[in-house]
Amino acid sequence: MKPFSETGENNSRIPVSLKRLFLVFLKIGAFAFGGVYSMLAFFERELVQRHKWLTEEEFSEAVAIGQLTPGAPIINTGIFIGFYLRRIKGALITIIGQVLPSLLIVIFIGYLYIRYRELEMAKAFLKGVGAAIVGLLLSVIFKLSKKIFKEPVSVITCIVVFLLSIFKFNPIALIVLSGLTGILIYGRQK
Amino acid sequence: MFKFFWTLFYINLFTIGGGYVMIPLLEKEIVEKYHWLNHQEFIEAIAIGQLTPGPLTIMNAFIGYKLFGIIGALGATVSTYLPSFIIVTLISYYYNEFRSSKIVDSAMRLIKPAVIGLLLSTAISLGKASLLNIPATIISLLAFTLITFTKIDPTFIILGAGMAGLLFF
Repeated sequence: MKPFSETGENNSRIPVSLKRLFLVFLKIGAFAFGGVYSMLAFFERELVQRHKWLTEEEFSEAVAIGQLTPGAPIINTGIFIGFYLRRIKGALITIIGQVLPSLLIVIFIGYLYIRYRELEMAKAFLKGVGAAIVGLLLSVIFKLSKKIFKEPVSVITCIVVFLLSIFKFNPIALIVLSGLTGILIYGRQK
Repeated sequence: MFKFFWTLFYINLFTIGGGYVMIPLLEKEIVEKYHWLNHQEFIEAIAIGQLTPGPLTIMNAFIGYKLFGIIGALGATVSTYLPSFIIVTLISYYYNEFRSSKIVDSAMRLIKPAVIGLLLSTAISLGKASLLNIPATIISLLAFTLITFTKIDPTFIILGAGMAGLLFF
């Protein structure tokens, strides 16, 4: 993927209007239920296939950048695409579009939650939901492990971090240390 | 309140490798250190983040709303996405250097398994808070199986678990 030309707009195509960019990301934000993978599929359909603002290759670069940067990967992918298409304004517009629908829904649910959470029915419902969330976390762990445990060093890192974290080590410190160890081990290889 | 916003800001700076990474970090700061939420409330916040469209990280807005009302929700949203905005924009300027960087690649190779370890330890501490009896454990195992091995949208599974909760508890 060639990044940006000097002026920042990609000259080969007509610049995307901020309003349309906003509307597409608003739609993505409003309808993408069910986590990152369904959102990525949605992104691809809207941005690559429908509006043709990006090629497949540019899109997959944007996905990779989203995963290598801090924060929610999907938001970061959006920021990167927004920046690619319309620089700073585009980046801002994509965050607002993506976040606005869920923010409004969360405030609405939050209002209901605070008002009704003491009801017996709500308590029972939330207990069921809480149990499912633990299952969901385990499922995330399971899926990630299948992808990542390809060499002994990864498995060892995981076990060490797990044990340290059980003994209340600070998770941020553990992430930073793992990153540094990774640089030490792999950084010098060609 | 500003302490809460600042906490979200720096947690998000270190949330590398997926939105789920935020969960162990949040649990450490929000539940264990500052006691803004207890374990059960924290699990409910995750559930709400998962049930709303958009990224899981919007659960921060819910926590903000619960603690400080609308202002809390808005402030939490800004503190959550500001680090991403700054960093992704910077990286977009230095895109080529960043992508071909050996350092980023090698750091990520161990950050990813570290994240699994962190998640595992969080799953255990959350499990202790919510899997208090046999029905809850069964719901949890069922949710795990369905989410892992079928393509059913997790939103429906979580709602279904809530319904099952109505039956059992």
